[in-house]
Amino acid sequence: MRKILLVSFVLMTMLARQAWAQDRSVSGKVTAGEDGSSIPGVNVSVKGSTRGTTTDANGDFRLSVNSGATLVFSAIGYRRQEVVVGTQTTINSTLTAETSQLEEVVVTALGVQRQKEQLGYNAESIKSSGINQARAVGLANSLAGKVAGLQINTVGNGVNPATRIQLRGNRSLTGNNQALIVVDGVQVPQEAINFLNPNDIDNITVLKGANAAALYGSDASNGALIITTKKGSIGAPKVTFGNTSSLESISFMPKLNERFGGGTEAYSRVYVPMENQSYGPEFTNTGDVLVSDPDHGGLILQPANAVQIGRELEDGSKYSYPYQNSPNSKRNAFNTGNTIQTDLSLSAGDKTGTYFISVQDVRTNGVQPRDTYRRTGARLNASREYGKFKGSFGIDYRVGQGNQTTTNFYNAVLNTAANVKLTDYRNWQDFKLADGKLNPANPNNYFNDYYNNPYFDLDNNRQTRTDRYLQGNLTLELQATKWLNVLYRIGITNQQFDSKFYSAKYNYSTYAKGSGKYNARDIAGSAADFSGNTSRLNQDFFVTINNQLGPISSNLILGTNVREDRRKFIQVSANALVLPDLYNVTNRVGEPGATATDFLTRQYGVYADWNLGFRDYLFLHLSGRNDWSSLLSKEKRSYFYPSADVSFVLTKALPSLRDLTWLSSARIRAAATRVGNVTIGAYSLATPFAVGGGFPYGSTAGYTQGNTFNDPNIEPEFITSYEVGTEFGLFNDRVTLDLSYYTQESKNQTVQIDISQATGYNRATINAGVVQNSGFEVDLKTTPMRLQNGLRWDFNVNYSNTDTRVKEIYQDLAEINLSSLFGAVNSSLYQVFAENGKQFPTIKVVDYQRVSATDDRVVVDPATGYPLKAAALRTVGQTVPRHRLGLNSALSFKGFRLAATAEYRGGYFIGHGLAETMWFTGSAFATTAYGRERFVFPNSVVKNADGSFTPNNDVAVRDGGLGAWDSQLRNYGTNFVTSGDFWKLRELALTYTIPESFLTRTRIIKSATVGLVGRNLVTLLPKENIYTDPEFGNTTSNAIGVNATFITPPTRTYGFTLNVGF
Amino acid sequence: MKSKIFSLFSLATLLLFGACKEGYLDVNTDPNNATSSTPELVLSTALNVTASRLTHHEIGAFWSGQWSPTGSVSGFQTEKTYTVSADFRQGIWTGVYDNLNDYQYVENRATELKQSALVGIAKTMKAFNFQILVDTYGNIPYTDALKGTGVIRPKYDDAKTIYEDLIKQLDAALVELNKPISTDNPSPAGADLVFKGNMPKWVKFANTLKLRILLRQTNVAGRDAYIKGEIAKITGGYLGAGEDALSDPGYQKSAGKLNPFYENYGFTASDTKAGNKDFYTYSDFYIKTLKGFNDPRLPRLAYVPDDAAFRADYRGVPFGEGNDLYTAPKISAIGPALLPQVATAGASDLYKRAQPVMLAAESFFLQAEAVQRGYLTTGTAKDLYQKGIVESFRYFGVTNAGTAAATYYALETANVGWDSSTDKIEAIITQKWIANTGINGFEAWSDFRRTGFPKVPLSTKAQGTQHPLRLIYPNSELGTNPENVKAQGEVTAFTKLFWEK
Repeated sequence: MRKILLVSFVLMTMLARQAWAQDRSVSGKVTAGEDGSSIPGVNVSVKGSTRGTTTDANGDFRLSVNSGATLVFSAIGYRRQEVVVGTQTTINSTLTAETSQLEEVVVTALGVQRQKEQLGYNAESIKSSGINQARAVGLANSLAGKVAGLQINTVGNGVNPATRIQLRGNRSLTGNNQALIVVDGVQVPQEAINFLNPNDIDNITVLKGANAAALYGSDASNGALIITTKKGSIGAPKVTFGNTSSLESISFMPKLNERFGGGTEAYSRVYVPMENQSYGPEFTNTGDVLVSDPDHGGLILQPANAVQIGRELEDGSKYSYPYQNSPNSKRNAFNTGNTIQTDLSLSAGDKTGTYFISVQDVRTNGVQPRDTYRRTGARLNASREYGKFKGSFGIDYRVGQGNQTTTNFYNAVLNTAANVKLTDYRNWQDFKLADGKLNPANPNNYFNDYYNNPYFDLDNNRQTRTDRYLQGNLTLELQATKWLNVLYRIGITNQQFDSKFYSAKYNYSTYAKGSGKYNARDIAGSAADFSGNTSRLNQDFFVTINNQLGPISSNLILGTNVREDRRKFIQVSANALVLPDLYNVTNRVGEPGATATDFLTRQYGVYADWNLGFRDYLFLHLSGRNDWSSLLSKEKRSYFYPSADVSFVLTKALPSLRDLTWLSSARIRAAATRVGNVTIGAYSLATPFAVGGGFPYGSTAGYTQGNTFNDPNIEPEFITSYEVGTEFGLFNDRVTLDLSYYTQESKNQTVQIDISQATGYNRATINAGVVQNSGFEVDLKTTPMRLQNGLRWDFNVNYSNTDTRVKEIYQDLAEINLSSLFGAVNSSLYQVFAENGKQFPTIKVVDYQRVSATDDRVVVDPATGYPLKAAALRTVGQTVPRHRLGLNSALSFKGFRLAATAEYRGGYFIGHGLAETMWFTGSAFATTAYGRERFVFPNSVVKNADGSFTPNNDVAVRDGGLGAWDSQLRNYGTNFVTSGDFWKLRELALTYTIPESFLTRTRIIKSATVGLVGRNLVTLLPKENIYTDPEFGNTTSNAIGVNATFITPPTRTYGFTLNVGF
Repeated sequence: MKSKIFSLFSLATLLLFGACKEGYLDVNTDPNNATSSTPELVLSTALNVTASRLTHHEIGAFWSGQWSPTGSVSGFQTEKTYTVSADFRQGIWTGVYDNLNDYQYVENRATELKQSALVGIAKTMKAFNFQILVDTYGNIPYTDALKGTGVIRPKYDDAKTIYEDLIKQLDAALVELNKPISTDNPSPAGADLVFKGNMPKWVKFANTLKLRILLRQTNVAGRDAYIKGEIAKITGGYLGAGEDALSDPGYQKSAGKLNPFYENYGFTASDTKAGNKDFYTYSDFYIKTLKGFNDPRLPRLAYVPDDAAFRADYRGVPFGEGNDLYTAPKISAIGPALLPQVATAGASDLYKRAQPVMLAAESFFLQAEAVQRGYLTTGTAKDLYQKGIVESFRYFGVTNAGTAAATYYALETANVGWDSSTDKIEAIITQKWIANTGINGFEAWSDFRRTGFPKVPLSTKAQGTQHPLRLIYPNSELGTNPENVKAQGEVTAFTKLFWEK
C-alpha cells in the first residue's frame, strides 16, 4: 500500500541531482521488511554529499560511489537506513515501516501526502487498526476519544443515528461548525460519513485547524477529516473475510419512582386505575387500597393484592393485578438488540495497476422492538499507470434500509404507572384471549385513559426509509516532466432516498368510546411519502511544480475547483385514510398535502499553495484562495483568503540537539489562517412570502410575509486563527508529546438574530457577531513496556480544552435563542442560547426566585410554601464540554491484543428533556424525594414586607404530591439541568491472532484473528444525573445541549469478531 | 492511449472552465417560494389569521368565567393559579405582531398602488389588533413597530397615547373606506374574507371598533368629554341587525382547512375527536348563571354530560378544579351552536362555519352602554340592549330567535329583563358576556377587567385574592428588546392597565 502512495509522491517530487565523477558503481534492490515486496521511489543518497538517485518501479537502483561511502536509504513511510559501502557492488536494503512521530506521513489536502514534520499545524493520523479496534458500525462513533480536540456527538441512539462532528469547538454562532469530510481527495457532504464502511478506511488524517481551507475552500474552516480508503497492494490477491456479531442492551435507565402507583390530582392519594400519572398511594403489600372508581364515581376499597387496572370492560369484567412496583418492567419493555456485520474484501495488484474490492453487509435489530437497519454495499478502488499517465478511480455504493417507529416509545414506557407490568402488554392485536377473557392489551381494553399501549403505537406508527448512496471519484494524472504534474479529479456524491411515514387507521369500539376513555378516539390514519435527491459534483484541476534550488525545495500547487450542489425533495401526504392498511396517498379523505423544493448552489475557486523547504529542517507553507459563490449577490460573491505556516525541526537543525540520545525529535510550528465562509443557504437573500396557513381554500389564495428578514447584501464571514505547537520524541520515540495552542476569532458572522417580534419579524439574517475560541491540545503517546519477549504496552493520552466565548452579537443584543432558531427543543423551560459575553452555547432555564445573584436561597410564597418564579431566565452554563480526555491503551503479547479506549468529558451542562414529562407523570424518582408528603422547600426563605428575608422553616408546600411536583416544581427548568460530565469506557477489545505456523497446515488460510469486542461497556455519571447518558443529544445543530425522549435509551454492545485472510 | 488521455484532460478542462462562463453563478433565484406578492393575497391571509387566533380568546374565556379546563387534562396550571410568568402564552405577542406585519405590508403596498379600499381595511384591522395588544400588555411598541430591521429594538409607547392614535388611525381608515370603488380603486371582494368588498359594512365595522375602543376608557378619569366628542364625530352607522363580521375563506373538510374553532376544540377532517376536544368545558359559574336566567341559549351552547350518572343536567367545572369528577364524559361539552356532539360524516356543517371577528350583538351592546352612559344620543339603551339579545339568539340558532328573545328579555330577572336590572351596565355586560361565549372570550375578559361584570368567582386554585389584570412581557421580548422592557418598570399580572377599574 505504502508503495503506491509513494509512487505518486515521488512523481511529484523533482529532485535536482548533480553527477560527479565516481570511482565505481553499486546497484541493488530495496524491499519492504513486512512482506518482501520491492519498493519503488526510495531515495538513495551518499551521506555527506548531494549525490543520489531513486529506485525504479522494480525497486532497483544503480549509483556511483566512492569506496567507504555510506548510502542512506530514505522513503516516506519507512525508517531511514544507512549502509556502509565496503567492497560490495550489490547492496540490497530492507526497509522497515516508519513509526517515528515526526517522520510520519499524513495525507493533507487534495490527497497530497506530506511528512508531518513539514506541517506548520496540527494534523493527526489514525490508522485502520485504531479505527476498527471495536468494530463499530458507524465510522464517526469509532473515532470518539481517539483524537485531541475531536468531539463526536450522537443524535439519538437508534439503529441508524446521526452524528455531529466537531473540531476545536464552535466558531460560528448560527452557521455550520461541523468538520469537513473528505474522501480520497473529494469533499463530500456531512452525511457521507454514515455510509462509509469503516473497514474500507486505510487512514484518517484529522486537520484540526482551518489550514486546508486554501485547497478545499470555506468548508474546511471547521477543520477536516481527510479519509483515505484502502488501495490494492502489489502481489498475489489477498482475500479477507470478517464477521462481527454483537448484542446490544440498555446501559442506563433513569431513576424511577418505585413507590407510588397510578393517581392524579393534588392532595388526593387515591389510586386511579386508568391514570397516566403516578400520584397514587404508596404501595403496600397487604390491606386495602383506596381506589377512585372510574365507572361509577366515588371511592371504593380494593385489596392490595388485586386492584383493578383500567376501566370496567365491555363484558363487565375488570382486569386486576397486585398493587405493587413491577420491577424492571420498563427496562424489559425493550429488546436485546443485535448486529451482524459481514465483510469480504479482495486486494491485488502489480507494478502498473492495483485494485481493491470490498463488500459489507450490516444488519441491526435495535433495542426498540421492531426497529431495524441494514446497510449493504461495495467499494471498488483501482488504479493503472501508463508511463507518465496514471488513472485511478474509486466507487462506493451503499444501500441503507431502515424501519423505525415514529412514536415516542421510550417516553411512553418511562411514564407508565409503576404498578403496571408493561411487558404483559406486547400482544395488543386480539380483542379476546384464547381463554375467552378480554385482552387487557387491546386498545379498547388498555387501562390507560390517556396514553395508548406503547406497543400498539409502536406497531402502528412507522417510518421506512431507503437511502441509496453513491460516491465516486476519478483521477487522471500526468507527470508531464520531472518537475511538473498535472492532475484532474472529478468526484460525485449522490444520495437518493425514499421514505414513507404511516400511521394505521384504527376505530375504537363503541363501548370504549362511550366509556369516557379519553384516548378512545378513532385514529384516521395517515400516509406520507418523501423522496429526495442530494448530489454534489466536485472538480479539481491543479498543477504541481516541484523545484530544488540548492538547499531550498519548492512545491507549488496552482489549481481551480468547481463545485455544484443540487437537492430536490418531494413530499405527498394523506392526513386521513379510507381503507385500513393501505398506506397510499390515493387512499385518502380530504385534500392531499404536497410540496416540492429544489436547491442549486454553485461555487468556484482558484488557489495557490506553496511549500518551501530549507534543507530538511525548515518548512514554510503559504496559500491563497479566491472563491466565488452563487449564494451571495453579484457584488459580494468574490472573496479571498490567505494562510501561512512554518515548521522548524530543531533536532535536525541544531547539531547540539541531534546528538542527544534521549531526544529523538523535536520541532516547533506556527500557523496563521484567515478563511472566508458563506454560511447561508440557497435563496437566502430575499425575504420570501409563504403560503398562508390553510390556503388555498379552494380557489381562494393567500400569502403571508416570512418571519425572517433577510439582508440582500450579506457578506462572507471571516475566521482568523493562529496556532502554535511543539512536538517532542523522547527515548527513541517511546514517549512523544504534541502540544498545540490555538486562538480563533470569527467576525462579521452571518447570523440569524432574534429580533423583537414588534418589528414584524422574529428573526433577521445579518452580518454581525464575534466569537472567540481558544484552546489547547495535548497528545501524549507512550510505550511504557516493550520487552524482548514481545510484550508491548502502548498508552496514549489526549486532552483538549476549549474556551468559546461570544464577544458580540449585534449592537447591544444580548442573546440568540438557538433552540427556537434550530427548532431543537419544544420546552420553554430550558433552552440553548448564544449569549453575549458568555461561553457558547449556554443553557438557560426558568428558575426560582432567589434572594440575590450571590445568595441562591429560594424565595417561597408564605401562603402556599411553593417557590416563586424568577422574572428572567437563569444561565446555568455551557453545553459543550470544557475538557475532553481520551485514554487509549493497547497491550499485546504473542498474538494477543487487549485494546481499550476511554473518554471523559467535563465542565458542561445538559438539559434532560425526558425529565419534564417524568415529573408530570410522577414516574421520576425525584418526585418521591419527600415520600409525597408535604415538605418545607429546602434552603428557602420568605420575603418580608420590608424587603428583607427570613429563613423558611415551617411553611410547608400545600401539597406534597401532584400539587408540588407536577403543578408547581415541574415548571422550573432548573430542575431538569444537570452536569453533563461523564467517563465512558468506549471500547474494549481482546483479540487473538492465530500463529501463522499453525495456519500453514490449512494451506488455504493465511491469517486469522478472533476476538471479543465491546463498546460503551461502562458509563460513569455524577450523582445528580439520574436521567440519562448526556452524550445523546437531540440535534446536530448548534443548539446542542438538551436531550429528549425520542432518542432511544443508551446502550452497550458486546460481541464476537472473526477475521480470516486467504 | 496517450491521445485518449489527452482528450480526457481536454474534456475535463472544458468542463471545469465551462464553470467560469457568464451567468454560471446566477442561480440564486428562489424556485420554491414567492419573492413578491400582491396586497390582496396578503390581506386574505391576514384576515384569516386574525379570525383564527384562539389563544387570547381562550385565556379570556377562562378568566371571564365562561370556560374551564375539564378534569381530563392536568395542564392549565397558570390559568388556574394566576401565576403568570414571562413564558406564559407568548404566542399572543408574537402572533398578533406577526399578523400586524401582514396588514402593514398591505397598507404600504396598497398606498403605493393607491388602492384606497385595501388601505382602509388594513388600517382598520391594524387598529383592531393593536388594541388587543394594548389590552393584554399595556405599553407596547407602536410608533417604532413593524419596521423590520429598520428599528430592531422598538421603543414602547404609552398605552393611553396609543389608544388615542388608534382613533386617529381609524379616522384615516374611514376616509379611505369611504372613497368610491373605481378602476383605480378596485373592489377588494376577492381578498376580503369578511365583507366580500361591501365597503359600507367596513365603515360600520370601523365605527363599531371605535366605539369599542372609546368605551374601554369609561374608567379613565376626565375622559368623558373626549369619549363623547369622538363618538359624536362617528358617521355611517354601526354594525346592525344581521351584520356580523365573519371571516369566511371557504373552509373545507380537509386537515388545516376546517373552521379553526371546530378543528381545535372539536373534530378533525376525518371526523375523529381533536386532541383538545375533551379539555374544554364551561365553568360551573357560567352554567349556573345561564340556568338561573332560564337562558334558551344554554342548550345551544352546551350538551348535557355523556355519562349516564350526570345526564340529568348541564354541568360545568368550578374553575380551578380538575379531578376525576370532572372528566369529559361527566361534564357538559361545548354545544350545538358551536360544535356537534359527534362528527359522523355529513352530520354537521359546523366545520365550515364562518369564524366571527365581531358580532352584531356586540355592536348593539356597545351602543346600549354608550347611550346608558350618555355618550350616545341615538336610540334608547333598553331597545339597543334587547336588539343585542335578539342578535345573540339569532347567531346561536335559537329557534324563532326573535320571539324567544322577546320572551327571554321579558323575564323579571336581574341582568335579563332590562327593567328588572338594577345595574344596567351589569345587565349589558352580562348579556354581552353570554353573546361572546365561544366567540370572543378576550372581549369578555376585558369587559370584566373594566367593569367587574359578571361577578366571576376566583379560581379555587388562586394563589392570591386578585383576578389577573394582564399578561407580562414575554421572554422573547425580554431577550431581544431588554432595555425597552425594563423601562416599563416591574410588571406583574396584577399591574393595572390605564383603563382598568
